[in-house]
Amino acid sequence: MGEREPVGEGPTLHRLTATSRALSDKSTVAEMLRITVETAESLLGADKVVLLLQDDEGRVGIRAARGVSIEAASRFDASFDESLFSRLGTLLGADLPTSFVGMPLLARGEVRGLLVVLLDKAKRSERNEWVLSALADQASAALEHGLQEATNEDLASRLAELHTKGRRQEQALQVVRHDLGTPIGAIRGYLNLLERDVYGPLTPRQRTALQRIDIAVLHLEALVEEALEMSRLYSGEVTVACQPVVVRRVIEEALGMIELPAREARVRLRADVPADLSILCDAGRLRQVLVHLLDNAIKHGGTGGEVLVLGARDDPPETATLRICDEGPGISPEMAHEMFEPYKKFGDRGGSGLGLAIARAVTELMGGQIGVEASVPKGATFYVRLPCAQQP
Amino acid sequence: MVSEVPSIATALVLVSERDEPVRKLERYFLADASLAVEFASDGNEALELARSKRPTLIITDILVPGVDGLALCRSIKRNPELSQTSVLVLSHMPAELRAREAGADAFLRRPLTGDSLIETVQGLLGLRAIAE
Repeated sequence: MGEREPVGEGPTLHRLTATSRALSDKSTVAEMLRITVETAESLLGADKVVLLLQDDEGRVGIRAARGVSIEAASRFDASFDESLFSRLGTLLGADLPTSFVGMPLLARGEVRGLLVVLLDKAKRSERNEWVLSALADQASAALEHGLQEATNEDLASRLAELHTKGRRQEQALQVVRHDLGTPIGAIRGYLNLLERDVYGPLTPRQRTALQRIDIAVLHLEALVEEALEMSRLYSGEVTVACQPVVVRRVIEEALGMIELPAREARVRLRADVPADLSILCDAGRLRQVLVHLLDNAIKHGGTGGEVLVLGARDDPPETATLRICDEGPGISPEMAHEMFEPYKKFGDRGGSGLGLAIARAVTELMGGQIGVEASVPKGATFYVRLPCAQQP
Repeated sequence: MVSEVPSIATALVLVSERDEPVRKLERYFLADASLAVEFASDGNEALELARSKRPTLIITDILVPGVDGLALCRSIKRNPELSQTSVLVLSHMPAELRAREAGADAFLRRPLTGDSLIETVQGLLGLRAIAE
């Protein structure tokens, strides 16, 4: 605009650099705003400087100012649109909105506020617009930094919350571990003595009642054992020893273990597994997983049906998949998603709801995957996928 | 020169004040059968209308409620389906550089003078017609 610069540019650049350094230092957002308006006032020779930020509801307030009384600044409240400049006119005592120069403050691609200076006509120049622009950029960067800090703090506190929750769950399971064993032991001990007529002969009805208590205690012990197992798995105390294992042998053992429940439910068991299929796993653990899946299949398959165990190498042949298919009512997509989560129970077949969660944790410890295949209207197919051992 | 019948050019306008130049533009659009204009009341509505109606041109102030004009411009320009939409940014602030960074095709400083708005809009629509 042809006017002479009021000061040499050296001091201006020096001042801008100093501001930059101050802003990138660990200033709080409030300090940043103060530094910005002060620098704007001195570098531009502005009569008044106002820094506005919008809140989450789109209302705008003054967060820092020079040349404006604190009362007037704190009373200012406007909506975030171009009429803002007329509103500022009233505040700053200028007749025309064109007496101001404003620059948007951007963070994350959005306008978060404005830096506005009251400059009389003589001081309007391209150079001043550039300086204002630079200051607005610096303030924007500091705002962005402040936003990032806030996000980080939020994440940190949520993480701390999750840790606390995890620790509390651990503690609860510790109670199970230490405190339930003793009373259960006492129940079993006395049951044993009673059943052996140590406290006198039993009537048939008394004996039946004791047998029912016995079954209930067995059930209770199984629940406690499962909870302990889950606790150990979650705390990383469980290790598995994987070696090449002939799958057919493990399946036969598992089938042997559930033969009685299968017979009682009148469910036929069938297996179709190549004799030479060998996978890398912990045999005992694999058997544990299979027994649980077979038990589920028998319980949910309905009486008189069939449970089929299949085993085959996958394509590509680095892994093999074992499948357990029942003829029950099938699994819905929602159930399929949730059923491997701890404490999810379906139906009222008893159990702690941990069985599948344990099966999953154990399978994954062996480097495998467990799941249920795309649900069909009838019948469910659970699968366990494990790495193949190298061909001997 | 063979010229095909141009399809209707549509403008979506999001301004925080409908001053005389904007009203003049509106009258200009309404008087021409090959032009159509629609107004949005805030940035969110503008974004919705942009996606559903695919206007030829969007005119926006920077300081508007909801999504601000620069964020709106960025969203439009980032969207591959709206690659044919031009964006004109208006403001009291000397924010041309920032408007360009946000992808604006043109920037006008308020207060708008004379026919600058209509002429700029004609330029943007004319450019588009040639590209077609």
